[in-house]
Amino acid sequence: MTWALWFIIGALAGCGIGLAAAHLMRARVTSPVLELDGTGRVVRANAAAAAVFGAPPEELSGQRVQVGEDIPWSDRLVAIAELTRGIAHELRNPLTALRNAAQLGLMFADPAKKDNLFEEVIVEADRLNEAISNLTTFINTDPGPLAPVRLDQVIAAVLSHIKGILIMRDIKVDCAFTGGLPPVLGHEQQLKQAVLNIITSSIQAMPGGGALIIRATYHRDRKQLELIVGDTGAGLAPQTVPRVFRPFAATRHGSSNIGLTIASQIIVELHNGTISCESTIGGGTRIRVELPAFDGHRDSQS
Amino acid sequence: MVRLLIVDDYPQIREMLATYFSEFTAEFEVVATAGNGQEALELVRLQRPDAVLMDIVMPIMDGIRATRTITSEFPATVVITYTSHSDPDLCALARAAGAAHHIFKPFDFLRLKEEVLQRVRSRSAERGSQ
Repeated sequence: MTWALWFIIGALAGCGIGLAAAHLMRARVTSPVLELDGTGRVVRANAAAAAVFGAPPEELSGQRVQVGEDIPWSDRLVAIAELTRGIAHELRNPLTALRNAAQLGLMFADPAKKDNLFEEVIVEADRLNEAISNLTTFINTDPGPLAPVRLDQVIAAVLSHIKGILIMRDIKVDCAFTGGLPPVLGHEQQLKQAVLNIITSSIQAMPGGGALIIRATYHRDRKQLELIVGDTGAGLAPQTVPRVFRPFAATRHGSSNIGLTIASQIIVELHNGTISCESTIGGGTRIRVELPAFDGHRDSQS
Repeated sequence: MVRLLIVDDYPQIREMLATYFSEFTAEFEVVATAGNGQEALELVRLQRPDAVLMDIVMPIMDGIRATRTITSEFPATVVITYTSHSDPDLCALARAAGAAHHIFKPFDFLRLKEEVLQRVRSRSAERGSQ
């Protein structure tokens, strides 16, 4: 895995935060990708999807597929590159302000102005540290204890993380929350990862730009939170739809689609939720997630 | 004197750029600063700056959309974009939107000044020869 480590070290050194920070972060940054090696985690495709969308049951129920062994090198590189790009973005604003404050401090002769800029250097160094801490919540593989998690905050954090990519791909976001969303009992960083993967998959479906449609709704009657992430891409062929949560489904651009497989593991296995896909050629694709609401009194997973 | 508009949603970067260009350069006058592309567009229409230093990743209206509108409405205005994404795609997108140059953060003030001056001078030379 030396290549991956050097890739990250190089990228972070490029950010200018130095080898010490690269050393600090490289284990965490590479771990989500490297973790796929040999874990052999089992994915169960969601039978509820068949009920919702009427897909043939044999396509959806009882699928057991191994994740891990044969993830192509190119996909690992893409995953690391996406992660690194997000990290670079989060770190470079405070880093730029820090450098600018130091350079201005050298230019001013007035000691009071120099002092103000020294203070600015400290403030920006603290922001940089905070940004690094926030990033580790995305890439930490330890799920930690279950806690109430606000889905709207998870979505907002993910959208903030990828705002540069949305601009680059010319994608507008249409996001709405309805029904006064209660929290879900879950692992915040894992849910962020799942939502990030689902949204990334929607973005990849719109190479020429489009609209990312996000709807989060609380269904009080069945105490479920529903999240729908839709795109205005080309849509999927009917035979592909039941396979989107399997690894190596190659549904779009030859991608092996590991992101949606990981998202479905997080939603279904770690959070007692369901995930399903609805798509029509020319009508875009919608990924629908349902998670049990946390009522605050008893464990909703019990 | 080059009349400059500075556009960045990160207030500290915006303010320090304004301080540098107004206090430590003889060639520039900072006419205004803006926190997003929409504000930038309104200020360009009002102030008609010679040059705009434009961040790309901003709320309300991003720097690519703002650059596209500014350069089509005011072809003489030199827009120089910058971003924290060291991504060639974003650079190409900015150039396609009409940016005269694209810079990656973090930047050095002295080099940034030279880059802006160079683009402003070559733009006036182009227009002078027409």
